[in-house]
Amino acid sequence: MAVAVPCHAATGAPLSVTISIAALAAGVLVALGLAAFSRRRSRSYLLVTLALAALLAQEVVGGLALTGALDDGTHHLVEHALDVVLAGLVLAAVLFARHGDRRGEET
Amino acid sequence: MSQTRTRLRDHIEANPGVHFNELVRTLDLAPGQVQYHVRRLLRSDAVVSESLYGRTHYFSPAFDEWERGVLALFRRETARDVLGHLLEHGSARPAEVADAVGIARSTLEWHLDHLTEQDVVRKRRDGNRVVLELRRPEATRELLAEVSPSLPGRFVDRFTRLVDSLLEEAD
Repeated sequence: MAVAVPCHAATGAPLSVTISIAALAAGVLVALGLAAFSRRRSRSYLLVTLALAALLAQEVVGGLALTGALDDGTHHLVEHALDVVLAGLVLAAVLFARHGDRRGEET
Repeated sequence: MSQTRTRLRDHIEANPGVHFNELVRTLDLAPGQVQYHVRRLLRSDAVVSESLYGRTHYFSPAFDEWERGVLALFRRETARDVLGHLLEHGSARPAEVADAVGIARSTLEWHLDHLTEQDVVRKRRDGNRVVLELRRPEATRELLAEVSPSLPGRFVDRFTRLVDSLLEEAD
């Protein structure tokens, strides 16, 4: 009887190290994005920050899959859904930059 | 206080000596908006301004006149480089400074006029040679250390420059 082995399980330690480094780097990027957004308060910066958060979320999902908290099918679906979200957010950031959108004018 | 005005006040507090165009650029606001809110901040004494050599610099009221002069000049790249050289070497001959900073002697003189006028740098005669030195080296060092952007702050600056340029290219 075949036991469901997560397809990443085979790669073990190097993968968990890679995910940790990626998560750390993504965390720094999210912090930078938040600092930049709090300075600019523009919609483009919000979208870029959310895109970076999606990147961080991918690493979290990867980590959860590695510990077995997420099964393989869900993990792949979520990961690729986050790809879609990330691409969409960056595209939206570009679009709003083009339209010169600016929030936080007068309050 | 409006959100924009609070942002302006916070930014001026964090970056004493910041000038008008820099406020517009860094905070991504319209010039008219900056003008309006800064005028209100000036009127309520939340910030003070100093017009020096063609630019208006803004400060929180905590700085005295001498400090305002140092900070305003510190916001200008060449003057800052000259100050940096003198802080590092104590005193130096004008030719050395011009060489180290990579500017012509005449350019250096122009900046030295400002630096001596604000009592930041002094020209001392040593025989028939001129030596440049800081008027108050310790106070200058402490003041600049206090206002220099932290490492994370510089990182955020670079990050915003990068994102700005990427979004502009996509445009």
